[in-house]
Amino acid sequence: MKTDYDVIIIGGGPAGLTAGMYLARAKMNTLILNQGAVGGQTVLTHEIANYPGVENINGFQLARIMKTQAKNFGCTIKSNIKISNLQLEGNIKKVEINNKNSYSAKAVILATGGRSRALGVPGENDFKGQGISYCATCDGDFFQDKEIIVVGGGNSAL
Amino acid sequence: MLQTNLTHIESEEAFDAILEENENVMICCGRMGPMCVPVYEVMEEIEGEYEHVKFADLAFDSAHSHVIRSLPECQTFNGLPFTVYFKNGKVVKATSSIQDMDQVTSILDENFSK
Ligand SMILES: Cc1cc2nc3c(=O)[nH]c(=O)nc-3n(C[C@H](O)[C@H](O)[C@H](O)COP(=O)(O)OP(=O)(O)OC[C@H]3O[C@@H](n4cnc5c(N)ncnc54)[C@H](O)[C@@H]3O)c2cc1C
Repeated sequence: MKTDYDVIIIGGGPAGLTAGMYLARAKMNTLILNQGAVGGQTVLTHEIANYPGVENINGFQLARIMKTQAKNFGCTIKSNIKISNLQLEGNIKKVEINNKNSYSAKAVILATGGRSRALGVPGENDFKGQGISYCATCDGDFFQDKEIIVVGGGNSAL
Repeated sequence: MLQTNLTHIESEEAFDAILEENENVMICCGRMGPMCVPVYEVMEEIEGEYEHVKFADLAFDSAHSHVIRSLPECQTFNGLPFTVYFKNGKVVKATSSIQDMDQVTSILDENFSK
């Protein structure tokens, strides 16, 4: 298993994947480590209408294309991992994942983006999918003609 | 058909055959949506590691999705995807909505010993 890279990118959203593509095209050995599904917040987006050159696309489709592009340029991508240790001092940086595998590189790029905040109330996790929903386009039809409470007041909530 | 690299269950007969031919089965029934895609990705990722488990998906909007949707274990579910784990054809666990790698692997480890 290869463990030495020129660059390790932490985060596999659009920013991490873009950095990966540019690095791989510049013949840098690049490893992308991502906590969840590759694509980051775009995976959570029903429709993207402002990506230049693409009129309309599902977020997950765009994410899949970006992932394939990055892989085709030569990036190694590991998703659904957890960073268990990070050593950024010195010339060689070290990143350990899942408390077992360790990787080193001359540079580490952090592209960890953003994430939505859960309510953090007791029972939230237990009732996820059984009354608590985070995606109107996914689960809206289960709640037809029912009374619902929307928490939040941003664009998604409106 | 769902755009994943998993085995797609495309009929009631295929569903029955998968349960009959495999001791341990994990089926994710969903759409290509934000809550479902991460679960498919976890399944694709661990498929090679959990060779004793058969991983498959099933389109929620297909005519044959009632094989999952009508299970008693799914009657209180109102979040996609519906993910159901079978041992010898019997449901041992079912979850609703997005699940991460840890949640999926802990269910697999608990119910399907190697
Ligand atoms: C519902 C919604 C709709 C949107 N719609 C649009 C739109 O239509 N048009 C538009 O231009 N933008 C839209 N956006 C915004 C857009 O998705 C973000 O600006 C973009 O995804 C940011 O990219 P990023 O790579 O910086 O971060 P992110 O997409 O947040 O990706 C960060 C990645 O890093 C990973 N990560 C985080 N911490 C760690 C860690 N410790 N270790 C390993 N990996 C880690 C995460 O799992 C994630 O995959 C939308 C966002 C949301 C939530």
